[in-house]
Amino acid sequence: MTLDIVALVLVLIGAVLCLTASIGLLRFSDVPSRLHAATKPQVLGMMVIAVGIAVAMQSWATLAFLIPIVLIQMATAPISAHMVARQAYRNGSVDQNIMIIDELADDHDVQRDSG
Amino acid sequence: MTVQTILIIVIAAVFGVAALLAIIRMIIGPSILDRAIASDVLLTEVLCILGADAVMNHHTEMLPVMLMIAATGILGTVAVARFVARRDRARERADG
Repeated sequence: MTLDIVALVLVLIGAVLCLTASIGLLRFSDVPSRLHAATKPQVLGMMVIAVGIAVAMQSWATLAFLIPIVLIQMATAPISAHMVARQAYRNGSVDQNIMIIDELADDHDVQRDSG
Repeated sequence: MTVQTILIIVIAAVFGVAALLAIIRMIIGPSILDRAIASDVLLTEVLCILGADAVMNHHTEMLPVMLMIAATGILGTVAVARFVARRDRARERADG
């Protein structure tokens, strides 16, 4: 009873993180800012919901299944974010005016490979 | 109406609004990378909804599906960022 409510509240936190990501996706102005919003449910929301499942089920087998899910998600989320951000920089869809330091601009390899 | 029922209704509403906003961003773009990020977020929301379903209905049949989504979900985004977005840029150049 009480643990059910705890698990549902944890799921609700994950759902609110998903909503935050979608609002950020809709309101932010360029690709890197939208990536910043998009990473919230991918790692934290997923972890909170996995803890919720573990609390609701209370079995070691479920926990043993949830740990690889969270670990794989944590390993793969940065890869896609990195690829999208790199391609956004090379496409020129990053707003140069709001950037204080652009260290990639000094890197000749980035410019050469950007084809 | 118990506390659980109210929580389940609120969770469903929040997930629905979140998915709707991600789909709106997927439609209005403007670039292919924005759509790739939006589809990534939508896939993550599907993952979270499967987890929420496991909590609400007390079953674990969805866990292998969650594992596979977590493992293969990046492939679409990586493929778009690596191969499609370059063509997107080439078309912009041709237009300009």
